[in-house]
Amino acid sequence: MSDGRNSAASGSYVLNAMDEAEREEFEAELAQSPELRNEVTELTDTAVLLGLAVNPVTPPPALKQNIMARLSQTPQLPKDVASEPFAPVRTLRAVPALESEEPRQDVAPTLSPAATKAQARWYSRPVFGIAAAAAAVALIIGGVTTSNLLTQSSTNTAASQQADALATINTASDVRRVARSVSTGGTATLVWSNKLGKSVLIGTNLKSLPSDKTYELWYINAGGHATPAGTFESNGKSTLQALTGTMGKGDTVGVTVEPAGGSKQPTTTPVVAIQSA
Amino acid sequence: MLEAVTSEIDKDTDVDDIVPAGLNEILGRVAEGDQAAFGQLYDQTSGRVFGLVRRLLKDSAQSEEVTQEIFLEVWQNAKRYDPSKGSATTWILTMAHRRAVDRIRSSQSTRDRDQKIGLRDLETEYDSVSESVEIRVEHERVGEALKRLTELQRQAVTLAYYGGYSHSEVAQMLKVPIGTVKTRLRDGMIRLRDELGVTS
Repeated sequence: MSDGRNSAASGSYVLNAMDEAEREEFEAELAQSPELRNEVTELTDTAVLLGLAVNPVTPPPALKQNIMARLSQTPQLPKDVASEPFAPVRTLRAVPALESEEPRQDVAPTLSPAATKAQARWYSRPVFGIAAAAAAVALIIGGVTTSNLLTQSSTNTAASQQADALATINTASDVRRVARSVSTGGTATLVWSNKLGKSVLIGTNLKSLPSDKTYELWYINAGGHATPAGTFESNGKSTLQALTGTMGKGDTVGVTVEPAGGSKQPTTTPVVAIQSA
Repeated sequence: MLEAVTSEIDKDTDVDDIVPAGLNEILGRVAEGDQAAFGQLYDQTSGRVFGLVRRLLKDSAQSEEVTQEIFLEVWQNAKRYDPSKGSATTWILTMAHRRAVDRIRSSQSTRDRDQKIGLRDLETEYDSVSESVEIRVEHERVGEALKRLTELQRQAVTLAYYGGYSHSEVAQMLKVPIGTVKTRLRDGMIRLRDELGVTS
């Protein structure tokens, strides 16, 4: 336990009684303490027993039909994606921490098989990180059919391509993430791999634009030259957009508001610019 | 882990009712994209998930939405489920609780409403919660274990787990410092763990 400040909070953690900032702090401590991970594993199972003590309630039959009908449009995420693929969506404030944690992904496989079940379990945070992550994807993919969330990706195929692009980048050994606030509201997180020369922008709570406007993505090289990398819309909640073209090492990714259809060169000041170095 | 616990529960209750046999195996087939297996998994777990979500959210329509999110999440992440790290039930119910709490936290109106509720009303809330847990014959052990907590531990744990309140909200409601609530939540969960014989 790094400083012992949070170690007394394992009960709050397994009961989901923490706010996001406290959770991040606690998880940082969790990553460093096998004892704490053991305790959290046991208390998580204890919490599940509290859940099992609740009277089951059969949901309306229509719910199953709705869910089953969505399966074929909902891609299953690959097994080998990095353990916290979309964590920035959940915890944008924690980007520096996430970067410092990245070596963990390299370290984890070298743990001896004797590493405890609990260690393995919490080292990769299989439930929470991915659950939050998947919710983001579910929101995006589910949104295509219900709320026109990704208006540009108006087909399920296109939506799943976006998710696949993110998954692919997340499997790269050099995946990086940086989050920045957007001047007009919301947050943009860039996930990229220099090896692949690809990037994906995750927008959270970006302002929705009038129909005659669009967000446009740009790769801006060291010389200041901007290359269009696609356009996207926001419904005010979450967006996931793979950039078109190839990302150059050290490129800055910018987002501007352009007339519908996009521009060949930026016509406005970027609402956010994220340097990928 | 959970298997060990439920096998103990099995002495008093029907384990199939708590952890349906073969759930891990079914989830394995779901991971291969088997929609029929997913249907089976849904049939075996949706009552548990919906029951828990509705306990937390109260509102049926919202509970259905959240339950749908949870099951789509199970489908999407099935390949990532690793049985060596815990049972399918643990995986699904932990996810369900987290999602339900996320929904509570994201709903400002719910929070506002909660802030207006005085401790008097909340006593009714956790009394009804703990009572309904305690009188449940099929999970008598959990009810019995809850009874062995101190009053403050029990209030804190049930408000957090069944009410979806954060520890700072619990502190406000019980009018005790947040540090005390954290300690009570941890002590209470450790006591429950020991009473229920949960070991990893």
